[in-house]
Amino acid sequence: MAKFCRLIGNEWKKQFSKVATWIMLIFLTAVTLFSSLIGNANQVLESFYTPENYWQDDLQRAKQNYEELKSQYGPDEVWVKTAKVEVDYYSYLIDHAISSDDWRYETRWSSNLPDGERSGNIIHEMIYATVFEEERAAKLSAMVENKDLAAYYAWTFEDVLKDSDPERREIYEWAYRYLIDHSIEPTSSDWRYGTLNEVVGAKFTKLDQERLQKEGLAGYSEVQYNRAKDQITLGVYRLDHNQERNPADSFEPVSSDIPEAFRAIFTLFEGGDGESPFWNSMLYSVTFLEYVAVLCIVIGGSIVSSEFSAGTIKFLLINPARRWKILMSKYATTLLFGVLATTGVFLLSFLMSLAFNGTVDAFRPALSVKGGEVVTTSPYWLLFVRYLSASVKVLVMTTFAFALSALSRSSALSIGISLAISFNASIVVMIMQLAGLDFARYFIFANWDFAAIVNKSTGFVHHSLPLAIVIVALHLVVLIWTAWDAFVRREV
Amino acid sequence: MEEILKIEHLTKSLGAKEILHDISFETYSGEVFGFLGPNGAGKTTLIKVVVGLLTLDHGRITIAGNDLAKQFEGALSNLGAIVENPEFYRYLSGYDNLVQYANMRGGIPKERIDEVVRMVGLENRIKEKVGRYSLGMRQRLGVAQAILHHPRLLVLDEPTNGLDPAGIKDLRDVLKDLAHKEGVAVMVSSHLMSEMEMMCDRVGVIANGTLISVHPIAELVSAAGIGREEFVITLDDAKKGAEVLSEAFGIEILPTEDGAIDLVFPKEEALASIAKANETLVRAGLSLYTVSKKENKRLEDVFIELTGGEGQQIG
Ligand SMILES: Nc1ncnc2c1ncn2[C@@H]1O[C@H](COP(=O)(O)OP(=O)(O)OP(=O)(O)O)[C@@H](O)[C@H]1O
Ligand SMILES: [Mg+2]
Repeated sequence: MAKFCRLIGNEWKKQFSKVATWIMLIFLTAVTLFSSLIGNANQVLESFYTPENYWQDDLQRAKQNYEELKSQYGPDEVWVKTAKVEVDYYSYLIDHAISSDDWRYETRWSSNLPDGERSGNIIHEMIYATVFEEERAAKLSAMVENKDLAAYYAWTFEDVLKDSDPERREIYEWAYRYLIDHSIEPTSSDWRYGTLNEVVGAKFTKLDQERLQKEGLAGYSEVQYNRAKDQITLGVYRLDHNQERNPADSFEPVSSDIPEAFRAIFTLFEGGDGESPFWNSMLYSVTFLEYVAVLCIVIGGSIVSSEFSAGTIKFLLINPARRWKILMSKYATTLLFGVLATTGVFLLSFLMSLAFNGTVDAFRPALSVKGGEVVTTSPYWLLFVRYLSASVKVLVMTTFAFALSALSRSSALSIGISLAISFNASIVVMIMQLAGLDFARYFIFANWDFAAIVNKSTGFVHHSLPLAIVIVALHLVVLIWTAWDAFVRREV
Repeated sequence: MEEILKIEHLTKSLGAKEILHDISFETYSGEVFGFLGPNGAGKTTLIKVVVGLLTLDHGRITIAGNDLAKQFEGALSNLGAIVENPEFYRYLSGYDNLVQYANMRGGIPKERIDEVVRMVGLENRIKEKVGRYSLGMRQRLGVAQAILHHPRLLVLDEPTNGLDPAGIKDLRDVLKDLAHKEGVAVMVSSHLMSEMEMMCDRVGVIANGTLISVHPIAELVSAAGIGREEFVITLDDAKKGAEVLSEAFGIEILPTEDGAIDLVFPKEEALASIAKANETLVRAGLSLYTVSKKENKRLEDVFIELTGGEGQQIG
């Protein structure tokens, strides 16, 4: 064992004395940093955004439009007045320094809460009323100017709290109480408002499903019912425990249409409300293992053959160390590089994510519902599983390069072929899947993404993890046996 | 003298061709064994088999009591070698290359590395990258590498290749010291007879993959006629001359077919003896035409003779 460690030490020293190794490590660092930057693009772009200038363009456009209409039709035409509303509206936003995430601006977007039925936001309505309905205007401007949440909710819930359906009314009352008691502003910048909306939506779905089931009508789905129930449990838990974002969301499959490989990229830009940018960017870092694969393939594809091309193999083999020990020390060194590079990639991404997103989400547990109970997991465990899953491909391709290098004794050939396969194999399998060639699921290239197989997002209906593990293990055994046969048995 | 390397009935084929045919010999501690043969004779192949780079087809090799096939690590820990050209990691310094070997063999203190560096005269350049070494410097580093772990058997394939005259002499002294003072069994291959003569105690001659013979070096030297002088005398009556000379020197001397007389004397007595021969012939009333000294048969001729004659094609 001590001798084996010394052999690994020798390989290590050799690798680090090569300029090529350093260039690759620098490349890996640079590309990880750059990709991390891209992965946090949302944060980067937002930092350029200033609300002061935000309304100016709109105001100028509205003014221009208004002046044109006025000069053409005179000030009393209805659409000229409507155009004037726009000018006053933007002036009001600017004068009162109301940014785009102020609840008074945001109170519209479709939601389950009653104000969703209103078309414009409350300020717009107020200005509109000033021009067209004096009486409403006074009531609205009191709410707006005093930031009177209670009055606002009383106004928006006015109708629905009189709902004749007691069960529906109960849901509205619950929401109304919750909003008032917790002083929740109706804005997307207060996450509780969004979460409450989701819970209310889920409560309605659950109610509908219960009724469908009771009446034995078509359209009842137990899956939907259970999902709604879990959503309620989870949402209420998050509201009560003040857990703004749930790291687990970042690890959920988006939809079965999107291959797992692209999932991380997808969530970066299309990430749902309430997803954690920190964990989205950490999940994205799993894709950087492709760069680790390049590093490992280059090292694994040359660590044996370079001894042959330099002629040093003779001097390596006339030492009192059996050939399989030498071979395995080279394999272990290659894998060690992979493990360390992966750790490095994780640490760099972690630091970048912290720098862009702060530490809050880094310490949040991932929440999920099992058997009606909320369970907490460490998101680091979820991430570790993803890293482990992505490492399978790196391991297979590195072993392939290693075996090819022992067999062909040519670094260029081994590295070239391995990289080509590594870049294209997944795409080829995907094309075969799309073409309906089901046998493609037996290929090693269709079986190394364990996470995708578990999430059922590979496209192959019959994919199963145990079979994938068997296929990967078989390939590894055959590859290592090939390397062993070529190196230990063949003559130098 | 302890038997260090024992080769028994070694046969080796590469591809379809049998390169080595039933080779058996031993080398002993304290002796420099020379391995002599023309290009393509199989010297490198034999050495590769001995150091474990090639596996043998038939036969048995034992190094310091360890069967190469069964106790590989035991056998190899008693062996130091250079096979063909000394190749090193060009991106490492000479010193770091030696550290690599020290690590593989284990139990070699730093002082030993410094010691072998001094022995091969590389102290001033040892921290430089091997990529900047000349062939001779790499050859010296190769020797340093081979003797690093105090091997009991040292196998060197054409070690003088690329060395300057001073380097050759140094190497010779190092090898002789190792063998005669430290009791190492040294085996060197070469196709230069004169080199063999200067450093070897015994020489094995190999040609076309067959070990032809093993001689103590003194035998070869005498076969080459070193230490003797030969004269050719032409005269009117060779038959009578031969009779007179036989009588005078007390040995039987016969005339040659072309009517001359060949005389061979030990080098020290050559001049006195040829003067005596002249005097004897003149006294007998014979007419001497010429007395000429014959050139020595060179070592190379013996070599060519031993390995199967002149103008031979590489087999
Ligand atoms: N890999 C191989 N495959 C087939 N034949 C080989 C191989 N290597 C060497 N040979 C043949 O084996 C024979 C002996 O070669 P070897 O290198 O042992 O000669 P050598 O005595 O070292 O010659 P030199 O003095 O030129 O170094 C040659 O005929 C050579 O062509
Ligand atoms: Mg040779």
